[in-house]
Amino acid sequence: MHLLEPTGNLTAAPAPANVSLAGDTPPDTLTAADVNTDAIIIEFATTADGRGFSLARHLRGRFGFGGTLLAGGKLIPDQVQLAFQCGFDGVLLTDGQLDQYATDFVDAVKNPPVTLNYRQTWADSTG
Amino acid sequence: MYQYTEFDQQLVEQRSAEFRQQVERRLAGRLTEDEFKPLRLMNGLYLQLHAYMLRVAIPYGVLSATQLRALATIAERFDKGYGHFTTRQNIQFNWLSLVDTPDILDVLASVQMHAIQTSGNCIRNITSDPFAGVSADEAVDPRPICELLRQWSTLHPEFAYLPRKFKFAITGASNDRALIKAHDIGLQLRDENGQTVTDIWVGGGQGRTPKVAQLLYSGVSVEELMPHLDAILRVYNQYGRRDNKYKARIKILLAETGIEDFRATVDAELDSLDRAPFAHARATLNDIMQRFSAVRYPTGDANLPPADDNTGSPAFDHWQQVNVKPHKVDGHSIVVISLKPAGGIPGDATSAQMNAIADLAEHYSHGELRITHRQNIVFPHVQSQHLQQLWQALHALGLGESNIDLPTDIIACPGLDYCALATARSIPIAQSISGHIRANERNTGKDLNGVTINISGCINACAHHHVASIGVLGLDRNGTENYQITLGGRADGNIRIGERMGPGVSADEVPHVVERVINLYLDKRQPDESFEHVYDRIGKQSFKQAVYNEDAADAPA
Ligand code: SF4
Repeated sequence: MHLLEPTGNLTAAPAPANVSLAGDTPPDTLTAADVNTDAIIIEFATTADGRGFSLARHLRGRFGFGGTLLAGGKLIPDQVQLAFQCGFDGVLLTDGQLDQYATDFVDAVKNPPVTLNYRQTWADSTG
Repeated sequence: MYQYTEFDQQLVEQRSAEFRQQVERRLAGRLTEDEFKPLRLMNGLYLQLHAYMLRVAIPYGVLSATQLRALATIAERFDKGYGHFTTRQNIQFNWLSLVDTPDILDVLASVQMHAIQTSGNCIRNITSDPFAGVSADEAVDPRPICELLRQWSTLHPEFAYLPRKFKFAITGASNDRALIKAHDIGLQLRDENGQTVTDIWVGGGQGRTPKVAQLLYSGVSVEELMPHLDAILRVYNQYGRRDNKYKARIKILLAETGIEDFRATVDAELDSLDRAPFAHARATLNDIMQRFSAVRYPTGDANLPPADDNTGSPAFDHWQQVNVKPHKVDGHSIVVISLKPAGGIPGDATSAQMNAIADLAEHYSHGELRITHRQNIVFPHVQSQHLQQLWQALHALGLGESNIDLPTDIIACPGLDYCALATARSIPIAQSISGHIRANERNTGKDLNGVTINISGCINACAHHHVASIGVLGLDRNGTENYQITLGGRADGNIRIGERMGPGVSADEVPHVVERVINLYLDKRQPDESFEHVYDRIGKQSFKQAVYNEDAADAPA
């Protein structure tokens, strides 16, 4: 397992997080106790299923989760920026994913074709 | 019209470069078709029956003459010389090859246009009132809010992989010309003590299960609008069904949870939602307003003469009564140009027509035009004293048809001639209905204003057949086209879903059914009585008899 950081650095993945949630976890089934931990992995079941992005925002918002949030599962390079923008701290990648997409994952962070984002600009101009 | 900032411009250029790179990776085998599909759809690119189709966004239906010329160029260089305007104010090019699409996106970017999010399971291009900013019945000009929400939804990181597509429509007028209650979210802008506030309607839609939207929040401030939308979309993203694509729209979630529970869930999300990105919503909106170049109408002493309504030219007078709408500024008119000529394909325009319309828009409409959801074109700023000249010019181009909101102003989706999802043809049916009813003067008179005919080529209902006076839905019955008839729908602020008559009829029969239904309406109506009012008054059974041309005794139950 490898960890892709928001800087584009690729390092060895940390020890598995204590809590792993499927991306399709219904938020109303979660309690504060479930997320009372330092690190949470959200697993994306398929590329097309974007529930994990909202779950990340929900954990940051509703539960005020301030620990490490990692994305795992079937993300493709074109999705890692979305993950970081939704509050993930890193994306977990398997050997298979790195083989399949060669350097596309790192490129997607280090040389992203799209760097601009309205929401980011609005947030940056705050205060 | 809104003028892009440098940021807006760079963003569409970056997006275009990104798509070029994605196409290269797909061609090199570094993306599978399954992985590439959502990416190309988010750039408006479909694989249809015969070729790739690109849907280009015309944000809130507003176009400049320069942009229309660029569309004409694309049709000429990359397609077969024409484009098709859709019921969501977009334009589609039907005959493209994949390798050309990055170049097409570059052409679009050069005129402040794009195809971002015109397809796929994301927030689609936002539609609005084609008379925005110029109609007399408007409280708030919706275009700045439309642009704000275009920016809010563009590349929204959280909502690029929703359960299903998500459509917004916005109006600020009292007559709803944007069909807001037939959208996933419809926004009604109002003025409350000098402040713009928004009513948020949720869960409208067409397709297999047509629904009229319900009021979720009333009087939301500009500051709170985007947080509310974020919260609604978040709840939909997490709870919307993904097991069945026909049940994945927000209207089904709302029907299953009920509006009260749905609102409670959204409220809970709103409580803790991060407002930081939206702290300057009002300032951002003000900046956007500054970038809408205001049209300077000549007024004051030089008060313009009104339209001449007795010109001695019956053809012009008829056009003026049917295609010209009241403008908020004296001496001005809103002109609707019909893309529904006799024998034509509804919503199609050739490159030559697009270039000619662009020239006329520059001459008569401050270089600006609009696209309507009924697939026609609007010149929003015409001096009434120029109407006759404009009509003559349009007439010479074959664009002088006088049928706006009349039965021959038919909406038709591409259907089986292009669309991979179609179960039957729609364009040829539109042509045969139009040809048939044109033969009878009684069925084309201007007193039939508001009697609409909409034809969809499958249950997805892109042509909005549920909300037409006469809706036609093309299905496939064991390999034969079969057309289901729906009557009594309506598409304005008093939206209602039409009723299905019974078994479908053959393609050949459809024009006769339509004619009989219109004749029944004409026979039974009282002065100024609308189609759906007659329908309610005399009842479904009478109309069924007209549809099936049978006596009451043996009409299908
Ligand atoms: S209604 Fe059906 S056939 Fe017509 S455009 Fe939509 S999906 Fe295609």
